[in-house]
Amino acid sequence: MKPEQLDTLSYYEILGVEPSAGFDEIRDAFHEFSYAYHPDYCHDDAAEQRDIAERVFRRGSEAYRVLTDPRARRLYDAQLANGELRFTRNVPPPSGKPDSWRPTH
Amino acid sequence: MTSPVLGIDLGTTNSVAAIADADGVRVLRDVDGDPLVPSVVSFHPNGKVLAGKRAQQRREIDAVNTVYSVKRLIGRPFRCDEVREADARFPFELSEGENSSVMVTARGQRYTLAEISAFVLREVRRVASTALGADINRAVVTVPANFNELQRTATKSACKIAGLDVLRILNEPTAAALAYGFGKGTHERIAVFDLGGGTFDLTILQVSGDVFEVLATAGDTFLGGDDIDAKVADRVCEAFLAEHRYDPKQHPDAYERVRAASERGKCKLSDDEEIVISLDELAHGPGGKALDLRFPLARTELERMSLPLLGRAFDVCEDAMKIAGMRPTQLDKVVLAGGQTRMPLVRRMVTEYFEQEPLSNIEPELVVAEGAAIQARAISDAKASLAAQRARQTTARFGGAVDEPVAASAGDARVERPAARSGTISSPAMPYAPVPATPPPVPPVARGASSAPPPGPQLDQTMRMFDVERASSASRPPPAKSGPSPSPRPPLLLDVTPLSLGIETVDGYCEHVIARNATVPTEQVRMFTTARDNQRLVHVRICQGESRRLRRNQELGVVALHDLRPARRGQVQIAVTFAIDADGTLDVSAKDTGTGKEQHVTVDLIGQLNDEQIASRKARQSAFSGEKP
Repeated sequence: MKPEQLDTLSYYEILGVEPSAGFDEIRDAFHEFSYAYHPDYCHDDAAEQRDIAERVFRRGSEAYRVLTDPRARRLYDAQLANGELRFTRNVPPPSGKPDSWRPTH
Repeated sequence: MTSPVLGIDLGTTNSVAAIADADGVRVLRDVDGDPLVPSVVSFHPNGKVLAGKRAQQRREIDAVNTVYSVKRLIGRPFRCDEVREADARFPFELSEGENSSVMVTARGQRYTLAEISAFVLREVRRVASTALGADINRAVVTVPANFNELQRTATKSACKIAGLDVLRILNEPTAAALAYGFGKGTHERIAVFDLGGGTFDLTILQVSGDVFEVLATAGDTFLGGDDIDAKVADRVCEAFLAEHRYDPKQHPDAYERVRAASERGKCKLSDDEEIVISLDELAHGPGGKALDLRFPLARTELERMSLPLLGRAFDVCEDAMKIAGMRPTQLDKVVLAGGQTRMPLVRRMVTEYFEQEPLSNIEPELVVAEGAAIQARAISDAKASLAAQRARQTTARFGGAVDEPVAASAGDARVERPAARSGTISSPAMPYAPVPATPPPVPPVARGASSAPPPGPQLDQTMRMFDVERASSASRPPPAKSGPSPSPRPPLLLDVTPLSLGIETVDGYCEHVIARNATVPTEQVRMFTTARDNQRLVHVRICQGESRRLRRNQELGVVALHDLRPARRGQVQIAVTFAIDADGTLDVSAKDTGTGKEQHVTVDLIGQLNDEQIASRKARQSAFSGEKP
């Protein structure tokens, strides 16, 4: 599997837990996941491999953060039911539209 | 065999280096047997730059050219309250440099604070290399947990200027927890109360076997022993002025002597009930008569003076508890780090707050360096121990063929232990067993679904989920599956980002992109679009802090996106990834979602040196120390 395929996996799949998993199970799974991908454990790998591992870890950390926050997890589960695999915002924007940047001078 | 990696505690007042190897952890000492390298740099009239002890000796005789406590200011913009306050107190001259940075002037030359820290780091490296009999240029360097992006980046620059290859920027309280090691196969919740010369942090960790996971951290980067010294010194100066009509504060060398004597007095009061701060010939009165200082000070009086400052530390503790969703009494252990925790009042207050005696078996001044050394070894050893750790993994997670419960591999660590209140620690020295020497090479195991699985458990399952090839994965025999055994793997630290990362929205507001206390490395993607037709360039201001108002947070600088695709407004959609790496520092990347192309991004941080400036300052330092650049 390529790291690009991160976008095809749910947070549950990335951490390797069932959607019914409880807090302890998610935490233990994240710890094992960390041993595989945390940069401190990839220090001697080739730079390219390190980058890939870090990309994977970042996503796992994102998954862990969302799945261990009961409110975020409820929102995520609802989103996941609609096929959205990734929780892209902490808080939905008021307008539901992307931010627009001020033109610069 | 790779060269060892130093653990360096780059402190406000003192710095310490330690090393971990097969024999355990040890702090490296200078020729006098002293482990503390004063974080002081003095610019001698003969053109030499002194650092450490030799610089310390010049504080009282050449105060304006002897620089100390720069850690209190590193990474801060010149125009901020902390710099103003320090400028009023420091005998050396501060001024505003390029890009709002703080510069120090000594003997007509201007230096960035990163350069001053680099002189200290060079001295630490020299002491360590002498102690080990080999030059070492790789290190794990610690910073206060609550350091922001600017302070971390400036510290990294200091390391580069000093010629150090930094494997990791590690948070000090986390390092302290690591030094204590703690029990195996248990869940323990630890608080680290870290009060040093200039900063205070309270960090709460969950230790589960070999995993150290930070649950919450909070801090005050401008609260430390220095502030107590200053209070005492001010009191002494007032008394001296009242008695002799001479104000030492108006004379840098005299004030520096008072400040140093006050600090020594403060330290003595940790053991004695009463002392006299005395200095001979602090000034000269009418007719050249020598005026001596004699200032009696009782511990109770020092405590009364310190109480308001220390109270601030417990406000921070409250904050950390709130983040962790815990009460102070729910912690299994409390650890002390930082020299200021030697003060009996601090210990009493900590005991009262957490309702338990804190641990300080490892000297609070040395514990951070020891932890850094353990982590240094863990990082450089990670490869060697991977084969062993793979033995612990089961196929349940990604193999799909085994019906074991997901967390089976960590089964021995799942028993919730009742709160232990004893003051004992199970393994103070090395929290993991040494890894055996290189095993005999075996034929590479073919990767991919078509090949036959190796005998025994499928070791590579985790890595197979994504194509991350480990340097060691093909050269290790699959160890036989065994029951729970002493953990062969080095500790794993899961640390967090201490401050929320925000981006400017409108009307001076900001919106948080990455919330504080997220496990790092981490990232968050935000979608942006253009606001006018054919917009080619956008700037967005970024900050760190918990306020919704940009100005109440620490502004970090500007993220700029260049060369946008010309299109109608709103037609260009850019996915911007804000990432925080394991050092707690920021990394930004962007992609045009329409074309899928990477977008050119630059991040301009306030007061920071660019690579070119770092290189030229490194060359200048090498010249000072007489080595080849």
